Amino acid sequence: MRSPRAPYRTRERRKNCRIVFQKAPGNPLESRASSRGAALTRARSFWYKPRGKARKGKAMAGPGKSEDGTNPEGHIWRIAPTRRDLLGFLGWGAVLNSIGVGTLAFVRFMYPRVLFEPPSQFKIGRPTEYSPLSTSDKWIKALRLWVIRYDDRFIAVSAICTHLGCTPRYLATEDKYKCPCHGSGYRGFASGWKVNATNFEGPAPRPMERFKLGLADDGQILVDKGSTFRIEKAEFDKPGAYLPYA
Amino acid sequence: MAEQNKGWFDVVKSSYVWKSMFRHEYQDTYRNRVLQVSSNVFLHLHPTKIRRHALRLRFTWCMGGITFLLFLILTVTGIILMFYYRPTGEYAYHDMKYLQFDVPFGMIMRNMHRWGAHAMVIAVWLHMFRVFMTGSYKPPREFNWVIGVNLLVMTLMLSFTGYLLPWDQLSIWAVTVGTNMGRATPLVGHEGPFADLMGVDARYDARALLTAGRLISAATLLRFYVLHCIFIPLIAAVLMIVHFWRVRKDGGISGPL
Repeated sequence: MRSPRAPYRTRERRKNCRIVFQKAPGNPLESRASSRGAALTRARSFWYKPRGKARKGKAMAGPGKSEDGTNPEGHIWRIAPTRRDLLGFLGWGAVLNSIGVGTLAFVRFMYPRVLFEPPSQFKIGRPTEYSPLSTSDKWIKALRLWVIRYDDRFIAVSAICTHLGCTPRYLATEDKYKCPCHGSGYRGFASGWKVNATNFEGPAPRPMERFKLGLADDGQILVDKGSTFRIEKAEFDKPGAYLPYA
Repeated sequence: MAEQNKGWFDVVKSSYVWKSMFRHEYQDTYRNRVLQVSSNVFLHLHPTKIRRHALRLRFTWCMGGITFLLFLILTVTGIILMFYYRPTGEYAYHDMKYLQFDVPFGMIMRNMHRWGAHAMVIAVWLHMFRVFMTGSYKPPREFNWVIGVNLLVMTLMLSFTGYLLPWDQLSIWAVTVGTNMGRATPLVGHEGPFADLMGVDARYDARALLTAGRLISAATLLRFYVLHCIFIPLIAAVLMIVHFWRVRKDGGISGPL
């Protein structure tokens, strides 16, 4: 328990301490420590970079201009690095590096290596189950895609309207896709495997995307909804954007 | 001077226990009044004296104060809601309904939280508008405006992350639209410009950071919950501390220079 006579307020306590820092008489900006000795007058720290007129010349170690005439040319001092500078550099380096590494580690921490998401690959039946030259909406409800069979290939078109994400409908009689939300229209089967599902009317900005197709081991068509292909990136020719099948 | 009878409260007040907690008495001197405020950790957040212009409601609208009050209300109601809400896919919606209909006073707590959130967003915009209109961003207050804008962003992010927590249709689609915007960010979004420069793809980009993966899932809910309850409030609290300190140091709420 503190004695009732010992002051607990910081200001009162500080009055009882010795004064360790004194201002040099005359020049209010210079402390006594920095005016130590004529040769060290004008000495700057190791990190000092001359600005203004003095910038033209290099900061160098050497005698500095002082009142007692020992530096008539007025060279700017730059003392050699001291132990204090080294420790300061190491200290700041440690702090900044730990913050930097910590930030990077945190960002990596936010991306788990394993995700528990529903599988994106689905088997959608054998190629023979799809009639040649047809657009099948067998999987529209379950997987939100059309399976279209041309002469030489299959394509799987994603039934997501590129306007705002509704599910368009394929109108077989008019051979085009129409989105019920805002009337976006896309080309139908007759336009060919590359132009199929390309927007031609309404607010849709680009053609519908296609899913990656492959063949599973048991001969069924395997669609991978995790991989999409876009014509704007010239991806419709890439392997996987279609399944060659004669 | 006649010794008055000491009541039981006077006995308590002169006890050592009382004096260890309450250092200043109730003398009505100017010095004592100042000491009572400045030496109290809760009261000293306010200045001991304010200028008369600080009370001009037509000038200040008190929107900053209202925003802070709403923040406190949201914090308190939020903590209360945390006693029943589980941020998992199976329980989130159920717990929200449970709070509304089965927990005593759950309805008002939940509603206060929701309405308070909407009101705080509105108040923060009105505050910003007022500060602009009264020129209270001019030197020396320019940095405080910067902090204020950051606080605005924090408020909007709190609102966004909190919107997912009920886990109903409105939440999921709002967050779908919001996070889909993230994938179009330059450099860090996999559908934005310069995506190939950074090597980002659908699994590792700015959107996946928010949604914890490619889809809006239970992992997203948990992530948004932590953002909403801990991460962003802490950042907002630090910014608020600096914001209020700056107001104090610049001479109190703005008035004629």
